Amino acid sequence: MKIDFLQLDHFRGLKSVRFDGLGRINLVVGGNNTGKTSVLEALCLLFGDHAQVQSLPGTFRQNVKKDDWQAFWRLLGLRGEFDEFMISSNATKVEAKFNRKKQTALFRTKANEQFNQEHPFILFQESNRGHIDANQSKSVLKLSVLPTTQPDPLTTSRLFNEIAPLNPENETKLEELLCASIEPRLRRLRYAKPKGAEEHLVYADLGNGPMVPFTQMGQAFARALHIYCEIFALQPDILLVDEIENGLYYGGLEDFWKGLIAVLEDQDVQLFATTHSRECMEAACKANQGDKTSLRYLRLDRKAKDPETIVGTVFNDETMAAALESGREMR
Amino acid sequence: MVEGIERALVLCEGPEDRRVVECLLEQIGAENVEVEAFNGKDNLRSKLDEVKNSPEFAQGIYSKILVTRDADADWSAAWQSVRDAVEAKFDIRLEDVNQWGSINEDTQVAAWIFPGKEQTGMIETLCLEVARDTQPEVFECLDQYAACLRSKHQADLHHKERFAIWTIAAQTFDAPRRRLSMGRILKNLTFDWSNEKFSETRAILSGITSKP
Repeated sequence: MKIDFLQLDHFRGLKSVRFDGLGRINLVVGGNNTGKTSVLEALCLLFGDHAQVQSLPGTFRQNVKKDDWQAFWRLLGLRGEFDEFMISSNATKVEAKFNRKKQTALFRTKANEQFNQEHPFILFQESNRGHIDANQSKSVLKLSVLPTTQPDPLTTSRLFNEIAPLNPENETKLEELLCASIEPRLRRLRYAKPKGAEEHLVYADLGNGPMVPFTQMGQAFARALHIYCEIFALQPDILLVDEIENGLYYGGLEDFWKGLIAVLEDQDVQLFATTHSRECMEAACKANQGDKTSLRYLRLDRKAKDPETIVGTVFNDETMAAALESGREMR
Repeated sequence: MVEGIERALVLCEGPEDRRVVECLLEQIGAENVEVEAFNGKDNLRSKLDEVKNSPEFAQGIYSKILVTRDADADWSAAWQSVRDAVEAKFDIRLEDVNQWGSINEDTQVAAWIFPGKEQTGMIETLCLEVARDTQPEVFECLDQYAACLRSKHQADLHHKERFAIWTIAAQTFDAPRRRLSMGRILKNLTFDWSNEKFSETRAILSGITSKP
């Protein structure tokens, strides 16, 4: 697997959390405010490119222009302003150092290398909104990030248009996946700009008349289409999806997972996704019957007696299946 | 059970055992105890795995976990099997039955084998012993019947068979008399939960409600 473990020390609300034995699919679950989004942000810092890291303050969180942008970089450490932290995996590690000039410097290296203290990968000070050194920002693994908000339909369409030139078979695969998991009437998809339209969009042939722009086909279709486009067009090593169940009808979740499992295995992509939904956790487990892939649940829990402490637990779909049978809640 | 409140967990081999344990817990006035069945000794390890990965365990809500099972024909083998399962999942070697060991700073674990220490049988055996004290006349018939069968087949009745026959023999209400499940027994037959033969079980169940 691309990442086998993830360790977060003093990062945001997490004192020390380690997830071992990561799988192809890693569903991050847990109660409100336990740090699910922080896990995705940590992965973004470990593997994000220049643009992904630069835009990180507004990727998963609401932000009010400059104020929140600055707060994000200031508050990455556990104890608040300008605290040191460490994020590590078997591929890359990131360490934050704070100096007397009220600057936070983030260093990123391969797991087995020493940090070059002269060249921080991010240097944050009040005035620069987190300056990123482009030379240092190259990642060892390619990352794709899907936040909760639905991406611009033009972006999805452009990604779709990049799939066939890379591998025409993948366009067919994508159509088959959407047909099997979301829209059984789907015959084919086309990137088109019909007469009178202003932009190119993906159009769907449903076999009942003129092709329909995908924007008119419901959130589940748009969500699944974008996830598949992101995988087939950008071919990332790691895909991050915040609240993966968003827009998906619970009854269709199992089919959605079956399709996604097939694509992730086929394209060798490792997924980290957050979810609040019990149905989503169950559907992933059921879709993976027969051990098609390695499915892991990464849960964050706040200690009852010591609410400041959050602990991480990793369990597999076998444990999830046993819990489903006995009616135990594993969220 | 109120979410987030510190509590104890008792794991029982099956739903029948669970009902008996729940009655004994009620009798001793134990509160905040959850009782779950793992439905057969072969499922104990997967149940422990489920518990270990549960939100309650991670949050430190389970203060004590008591693992129980029946001795069946070999008490030592049953104890060894529970001890190994606990060690495999929680990385702690229990020294003896009814001895609490700490898994971490929040949770302790212990094991108990029914019907009692170094005895063969099952939870039903214990219940039969209690019933014998309160309904000796029923057992006159039952013992004669068992002796008769033994002489015919050169084999003793199994604990479960003996218990099943007792559920029929002990019924005082009108026919037709059928074998009763534990739920129906508890509803329809009188059981002396304060009988001293339950004292060992009551003692360990009382232990789960005391603070670590």
